[in-house]
Amino acid sequence: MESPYIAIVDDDRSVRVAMGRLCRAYGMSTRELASAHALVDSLAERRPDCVILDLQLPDCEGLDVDEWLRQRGIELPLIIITGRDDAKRSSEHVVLPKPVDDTTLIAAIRNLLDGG
Amino acid sequence: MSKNRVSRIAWLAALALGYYIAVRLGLSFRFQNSIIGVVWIANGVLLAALLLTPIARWPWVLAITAVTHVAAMLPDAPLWRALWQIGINTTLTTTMALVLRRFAGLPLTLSTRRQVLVHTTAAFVLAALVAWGTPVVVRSALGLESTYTPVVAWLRVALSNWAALLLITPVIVLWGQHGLAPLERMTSRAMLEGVAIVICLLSVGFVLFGTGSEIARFPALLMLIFPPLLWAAVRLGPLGASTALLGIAAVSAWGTAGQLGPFVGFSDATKVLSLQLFWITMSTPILLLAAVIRERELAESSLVTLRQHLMHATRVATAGELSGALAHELRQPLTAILSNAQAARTLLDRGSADAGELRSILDDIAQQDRYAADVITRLRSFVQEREPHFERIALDAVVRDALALTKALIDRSGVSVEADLPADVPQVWGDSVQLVQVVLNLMLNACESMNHTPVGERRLRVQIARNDTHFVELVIEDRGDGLPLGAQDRVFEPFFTTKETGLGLGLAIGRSIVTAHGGRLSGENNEGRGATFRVLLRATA
Repeated sequence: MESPYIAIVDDDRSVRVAMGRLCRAYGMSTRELASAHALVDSLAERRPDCVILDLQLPDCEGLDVDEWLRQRGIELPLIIITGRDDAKRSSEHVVLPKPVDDTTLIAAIRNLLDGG
Repeated sequence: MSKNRVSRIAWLAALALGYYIAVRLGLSFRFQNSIIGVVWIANGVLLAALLLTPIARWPWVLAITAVTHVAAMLPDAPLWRALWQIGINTTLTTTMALVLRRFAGLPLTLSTRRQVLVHTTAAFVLAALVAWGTPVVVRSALGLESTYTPVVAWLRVALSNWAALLLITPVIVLWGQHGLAPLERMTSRAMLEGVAIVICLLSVGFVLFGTGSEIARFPALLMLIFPPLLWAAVRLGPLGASTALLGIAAVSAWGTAGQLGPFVGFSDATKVLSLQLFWITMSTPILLLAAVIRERELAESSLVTLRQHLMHATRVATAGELSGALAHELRQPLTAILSNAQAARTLLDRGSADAGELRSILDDIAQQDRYAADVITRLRSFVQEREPHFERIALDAVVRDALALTKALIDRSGVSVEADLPADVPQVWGDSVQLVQVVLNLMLNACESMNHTPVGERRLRVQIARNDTHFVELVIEDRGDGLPLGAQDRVFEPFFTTKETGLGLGLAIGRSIVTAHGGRLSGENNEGRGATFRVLLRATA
């Protein structure tokens, strides 16, 4: 089976680089992106199997990332990571608080890929 | 023998010596035809000794001075008379020391009006009462001595003791409490002023009391003594004032005894009386003035302390507002560190680690650790309670610090910052933490005021520029709600706020900080949207 392709979107370079390393260490291939716009632009090239998305991106308002994507007709398996305390929301997506432990993150990715 | 005991014995020996000199000086300082001293220095010394020692040690003080008194008096007076005097002096000084203890409070610093008034009143009342019991007064009343009438004898004894208690005791007590510490603490500027005051006092003293009798033709010239005395009282406190008074008393006594100065034309009796009245009338107002000034200085300094506490408290409150954003800011490097470490560990576990990748992972971890440490250090130095520290500072560094502290919050608010911070702007004289507090507060207000502004239009412009030759201007411009119409300057009033949370102290404290820096903080609405705040600070160059 081909290794899963994960897009990591975080405006903080150090975070997206580190998470990319982590995913690659677990045998996944990754693409690191700085903004939601960059994610949309990258979709034409290759559609990721899963997106790890920081909640607070400069170009999306507040918590409405998935709404923002949906408006553009994009439905993707999303894992939302957040450094904010007020991110308790009833999302259909997985929301993980920063810092994220590798077992939690990898399990969440596998779960999504298995169609869970 | 313990060091403590040695110093106690040395203290008592010094007391005996001082008291002996005081008695002999008092005895020698009598004008012709007088058997009563002009100023009975010994009682001033004894009262000071009692005020400087705990009651438990009073018996020692009284015993030593009694023995010394007899030894010093015997050449001039019979034993019974010396013993009688000891009884009277002990009564006067112990009563007065107890009264001061009870009503003025010890240590006697003469730095409150209460202490000066209690000291002066007690001296007048007690010395007046006790004088009735002295040998010379009682024996005059009984017709056993005929130099004076009883009332004149009483007045002379009372005056002699008043002069001692008002002039001698304060000087010994105040110097005895502080030693030379006040001189060591003086800045070189204060020292220079002290020297100038001493020179003025001595010159005026010598002009008035050391230049022949012509001065007696111009009695108003005696007023010349007041400017340097007032100067001493205002600038040198109770210690300086009481020392200056004693200095003037000494110069005037020296001149009058040498047949110089304004009192020479009078009879001996009037001369002494004039001298004593001159001293006594000078001392109370001058000591009182010094106390009033000291009270005011203390009130002012406690106000300054209070203001510092308030500034600190508002900094802590601001840090509280920032805490959510700062927690996020710290979670970023922590997230990166954790993921990097776990990635490295996984690579090692799977045997797929190469040295180059591990090295760059470790480098990143170290860098992110330093970044987190910087965030904490910056916050820590912002909230730390500290003494103000004024120095030459670069305003652009202040703005950068404030921007770093608010970075997380600004990012979260979707505000874009446009900073124009040229490095060639002159430095300003100020306290960097206080100025960061001002700038930070203005930035937070600006961000908050833009909550209703569409995200793409939330812009914060921060600019510093040389205003003219003397000032540097910091401009903070937002695209927010602006200042409340009709109340644009009220935003600087304490407790005025348009926010749902917050005390309304930020701008009031900001303005008081800038004003204390010799600058100006103002705010106005923009032509279009938002408000602009300007901080003008004096350039150092």
